[in-house]
Amino acid sequence: MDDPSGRAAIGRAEVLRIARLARLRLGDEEVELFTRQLNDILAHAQEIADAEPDASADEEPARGGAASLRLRDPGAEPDPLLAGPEAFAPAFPDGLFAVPRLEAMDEDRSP
Amino acid sequence: MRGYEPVIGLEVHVQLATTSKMFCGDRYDFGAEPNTRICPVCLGLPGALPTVNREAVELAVRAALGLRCTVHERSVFARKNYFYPDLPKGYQITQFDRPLATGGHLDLAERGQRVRIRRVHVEEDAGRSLHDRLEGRTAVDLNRAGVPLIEIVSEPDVRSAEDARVYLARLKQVLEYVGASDCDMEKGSLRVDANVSVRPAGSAQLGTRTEVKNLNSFAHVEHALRYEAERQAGVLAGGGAVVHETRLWDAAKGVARPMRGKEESHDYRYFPEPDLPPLVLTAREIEAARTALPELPEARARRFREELGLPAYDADVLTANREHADFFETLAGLTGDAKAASNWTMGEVLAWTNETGRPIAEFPAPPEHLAELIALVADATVSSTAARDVFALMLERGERPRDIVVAEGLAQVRDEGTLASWVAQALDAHPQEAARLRSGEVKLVGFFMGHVMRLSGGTADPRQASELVRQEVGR
Amino acid sequence: MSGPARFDPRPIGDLAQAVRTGEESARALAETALARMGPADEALNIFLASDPDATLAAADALDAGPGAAGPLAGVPIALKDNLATADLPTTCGSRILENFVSPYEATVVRRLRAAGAVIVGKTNMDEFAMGSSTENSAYGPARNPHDPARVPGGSSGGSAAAVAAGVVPAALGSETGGSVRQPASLSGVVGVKPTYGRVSRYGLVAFASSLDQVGTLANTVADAAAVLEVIAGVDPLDSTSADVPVGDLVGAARAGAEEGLRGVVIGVPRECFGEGLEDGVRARCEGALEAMAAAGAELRDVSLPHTALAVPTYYVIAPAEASSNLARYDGVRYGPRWDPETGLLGMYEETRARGFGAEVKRRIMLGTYVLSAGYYDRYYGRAQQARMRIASDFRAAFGAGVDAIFTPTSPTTAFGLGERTGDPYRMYLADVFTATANLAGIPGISVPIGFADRLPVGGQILADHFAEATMFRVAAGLERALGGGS
Repeated sequence: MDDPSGRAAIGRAEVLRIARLARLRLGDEEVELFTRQLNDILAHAQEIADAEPDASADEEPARGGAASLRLRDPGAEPDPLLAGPEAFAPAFPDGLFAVPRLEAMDEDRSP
Repeated sequence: MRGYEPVIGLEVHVQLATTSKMFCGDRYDFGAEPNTRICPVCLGLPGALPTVNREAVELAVRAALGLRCTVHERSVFARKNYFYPDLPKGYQITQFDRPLATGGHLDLAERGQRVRIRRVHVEEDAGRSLHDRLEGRTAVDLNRAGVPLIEIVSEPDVRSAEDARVYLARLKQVLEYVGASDCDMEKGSLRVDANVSVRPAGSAQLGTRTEVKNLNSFAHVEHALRYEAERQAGVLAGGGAVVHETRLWDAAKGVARPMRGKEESHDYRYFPEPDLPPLVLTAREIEAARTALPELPEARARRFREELGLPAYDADVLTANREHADFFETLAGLTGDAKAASNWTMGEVLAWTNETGRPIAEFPAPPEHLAELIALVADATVSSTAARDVFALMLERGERPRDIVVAEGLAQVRDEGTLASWVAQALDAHPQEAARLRSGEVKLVGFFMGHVMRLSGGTADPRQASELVRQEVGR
Repeated sequence: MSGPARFDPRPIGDLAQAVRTGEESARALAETALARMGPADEALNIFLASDPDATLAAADALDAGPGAAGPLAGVPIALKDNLATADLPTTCGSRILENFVSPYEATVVRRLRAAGAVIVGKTNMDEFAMGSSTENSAYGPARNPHDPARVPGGSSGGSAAAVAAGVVPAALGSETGGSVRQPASLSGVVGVKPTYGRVSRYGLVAFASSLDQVGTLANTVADAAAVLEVIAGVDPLDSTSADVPVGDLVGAARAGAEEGLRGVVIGVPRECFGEGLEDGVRARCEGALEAMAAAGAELRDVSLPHTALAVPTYYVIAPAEASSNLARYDGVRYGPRWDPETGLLGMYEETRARGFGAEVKRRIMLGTYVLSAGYYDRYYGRAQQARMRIASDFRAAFGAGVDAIFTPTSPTTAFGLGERTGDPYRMYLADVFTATANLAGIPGISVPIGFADRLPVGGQILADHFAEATMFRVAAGLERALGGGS
């Protein structure tokens, strides 16, 4: 999959693969449109690679944000829900979220 | 196995015994009503953000240290992206490139084997998908979503299905010792996936491996691995090639079947979790965790053997469970007789835990009482038979054994005069047998012993009483 | 100055004070806002949700109770529709969250309420904050109060228009690549993006987690500072929020207005004044620079050599994070569901196909691609490195003694509706001056600096991490030098 020339264009098959990964159903026109537009955008992204000589390692400039990870103590209460799932879930029979049936033995965790 | 040897690696997911979930403050209870332990974060609501559980980090570090890993001062959370109905965010927060710990090992003493641990990292559990709760649909319960897990990945150092089972038992033991988890496969707090390949015995190359899932007990693991290794050996011996695939263990049929239609390999698109800065631990914190570790099972068993003089069998049984070992050691300290403490612990006390199904921490009699009972047997105040009765009464009444012995009159009688009067009573009650005894019939000693014991309510010191009865023979 | 009138000539601080002393009632302010809302909304499609009865009830409660003591007592505020509220839906301008009412509130919303603010409605936005014109809203585009045939900018176009049209004195928006500053510029109001981590993101629906920040929009620098002071500060619910004191931002703005810019060094990056700037924008920027110099500032030529990488870098990193952040919209737990009854996969695909608009799909596709196996290093990996270079540019400039940097906010004034929707990348170039600040995490503010062909022009002040006080001081100084401010 990795193109050494760095100038791979995305073809239709690739667009369909990505759509599947992203769980997006695309119509034929969309596939065509996206194929064109994604290639266009990625051509610009190529500018990054062209401009930069490869990494001077792991510099981590300050980016704002937290100085370090703060750990949550055992006593901290969860942020409460003001309404239960029955208020906002599309299908919530008997206190369970319902979805179209998965085949039990396909428990490899990706339908 | 037709000259092939199995090469097995195990991936074990363990739920950490924390109060709250990994990335939010919800409590987790195994039996709670579905979807009642949820909050915006573990529901994956729009705008929710994760925060890291301190306790989970501490337990994970302890587990990693118990497995002799190097705990890294800096580790990074990552997103593993895929779609599944019980994965609320559409990604799992885990660790990828920079896990918490690497490079440990677990020794399987009884197998003379060391299994290297490749890595230990922290991540969150998913919810549960239930396929039989709703007609024609799958039901999702998100109570479990976000529960803290550690994933323990071994190198492919396991060489047999039996070794795999021993590895899991030892792993569970270490994790219980450090207090990281209760490792209960039935409750789902320990899950196992296995990677298995075979190769000609003695070869250094690795064969194509398959992944085996849906292993619900240690026994399943052993059976499934044996099946799969033999299946692969059969394939290779027949000139075929092993297909790299995932197989699900079907315990009912005893086979590992390939999963349907999963040709595409997963593209999880891992990238560092932007909502969490890296996890940083100081060297001092790691050292403090290391010194705070309890004595690990292997070392403890060795100490029981070498310092307390226990046989290997006793040491293994007692150290199998940390609470049992603690109980024994307290008792041994009080009595000064390690073997007696061991016998009583392995015998009567563990029998009690088995019968009642309760943990040893709930054993009703304090160790001081049990120590006293042991002393009473040691100085022959009570016979070992009577001691069992005292034990039962101790549990029932919560009284001191000494008091029970007195109250029930269970003390062994060794007074010559009293014994002699019981012997005399027995002889007088059975004149014909007495005559035969005096004429030399030794076998009637047992007959009269029975009566003496009955007359004394079981308290006559059997040795002394029997001496006195024997003196009548040939008189 | 032509154009629509602002909500009230008084600064927000004075409004709140009037409510606290009883001189003004929260109800009266709320009624004014609601009265303006109707016509403005008709013409400009600013609001996606409002509940006038609830707003008046909240105002009444404030007048009656102790809440009328907060720093924003009775002040009507509008919220961009990607901030979670419990009483109004949060749709993010998307069908996939149509009618979704959040069962929890964003931290910034809680802080506003605690300060006595009265929320009057949720404003229109580009879907999931992806856009620079608010034309990507599933609920129709918002329009620019200065010229309804033109865009107000985006993605916080509704919030900018709400302030520009005088419906509210202040609004919250959000930024990922410039989505508060750019619409502020196009709509003629002040827009602030704080330092990354300055304001909690808990309850801000995520687009790109390492870039997103809540921002404030208002008529003046002082007003924008007043609202930012209330919402800023560390939040235990947001691990990326910074534990840094907020400071007296209103005071900093006052100092800038009253004391001028003597001793302040303003960096002027040559890369931001090259080709691509509309003449009118260039002229106003030159005017702003002259005004700052006249107020005592020292102008210094600086270079931000990696500016040209900002857009491509942004358009790799942001979609990558977005593709992951938007995976949760799957019809399982909330929002509408479209189920063609072909199984779970069908439900996922149909819900997401119907629920997401074209720009969102495009960015999800792009993001999924750049993260996928085999491409990560080439795109995402390199973009993160370019990001570090961009951040280094700023570190070098500020490190060399520059207090703040001045650039145009947008290369153009407000463009016409429909003018750029056919060419995504051309639309992306609207972010060329703003995206660097998001990538580097530094704070930025857009200040109105005049008009070109009767359309607003904005100038941007950028400062170092957590140097909002400097930023507000300089911005207020500029505002005053141009005859603006309260």
